[in-house]
Amino acid sequence: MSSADEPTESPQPGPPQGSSQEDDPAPSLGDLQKKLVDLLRPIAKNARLMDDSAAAAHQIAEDIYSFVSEKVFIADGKLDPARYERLWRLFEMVWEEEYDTYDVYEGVLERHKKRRERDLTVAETSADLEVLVGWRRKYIRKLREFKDQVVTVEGYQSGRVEPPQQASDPG
Amino acid sequence: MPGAHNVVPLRPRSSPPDALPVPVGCLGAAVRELDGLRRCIEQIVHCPSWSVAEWRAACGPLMLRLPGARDSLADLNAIRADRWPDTEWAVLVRAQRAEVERRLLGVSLAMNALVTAEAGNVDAAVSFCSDGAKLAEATRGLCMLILSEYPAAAGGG
Repeated sequence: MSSADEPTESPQPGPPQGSSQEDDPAPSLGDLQKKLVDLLRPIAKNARLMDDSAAAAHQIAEDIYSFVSEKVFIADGKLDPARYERLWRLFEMVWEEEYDTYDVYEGVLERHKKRRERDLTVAETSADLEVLVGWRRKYIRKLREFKDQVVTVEGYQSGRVEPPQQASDPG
Repeated sequence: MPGAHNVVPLRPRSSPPDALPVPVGCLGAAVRELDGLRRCIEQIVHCPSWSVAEWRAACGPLMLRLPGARDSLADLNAIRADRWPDTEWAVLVRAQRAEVERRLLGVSLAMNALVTAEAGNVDAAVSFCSDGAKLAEATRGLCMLILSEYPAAAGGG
């Protein structure tokens, strides 16, 4: 997944208009971002840990999406969606992919837990596990892509990343 | 398709221990309960019985401990990565807790087979000892994880 590293139009240097210290969502988005990074850290070493924290991972992603859509990408705010359209579209895309992948992974996980309590044949157990492992990997990948995009958005909105001076492709 | 929802504010990192989703006192009670279960199981596994009557006698104390252990695991279920100040720790605890729950189920099934058997059930005995050793190990790991983050949970009684 590529990160949006440029706005659709040439932004003005310096802090965006319409924001104030009070409205600054940077600390909260930073907190949410850190939570996601912290969650992914032990899972990088042991992917199976995701099975018991998938709902929490998805909840954190949902909290981040709500925060970014309601407090970051707002007209006359830190990142005006009209001005940072490509960044906003990419962010929405990775969120939708995370959401949809979680939906399937959660279903597979639920089915796996229910079936584990029954007496399955070795072939059934192994087939079940193969499906689960595949969707687990896919979900972790989508969650990482989402996290990467959040890092990019956070960089822009906190001013850590300077917007490019030249206009890129519109839209 | 996903939509916007209300933002759920994070609990500040400086939350007092009792403001945690599971207060430290409750963590301590769970550690004591689970540690009691572990010691009980280790005792049985290290000195396996051979007759149905012996198994019944040996499993009596364990059966008494199961409801308390299950309650403790239910209390620890409130530890979730999205609600706990230390996210990484919560991920580890949650997985370890699930492991204890799985092993506990295995031990319970094996124990039922042992104490309801008409004659000695070797398969159930082997299964009990194997699952019991794994349950003891998982329980020890869970207690250590909790105490590593909240040493104060070791106190009380």
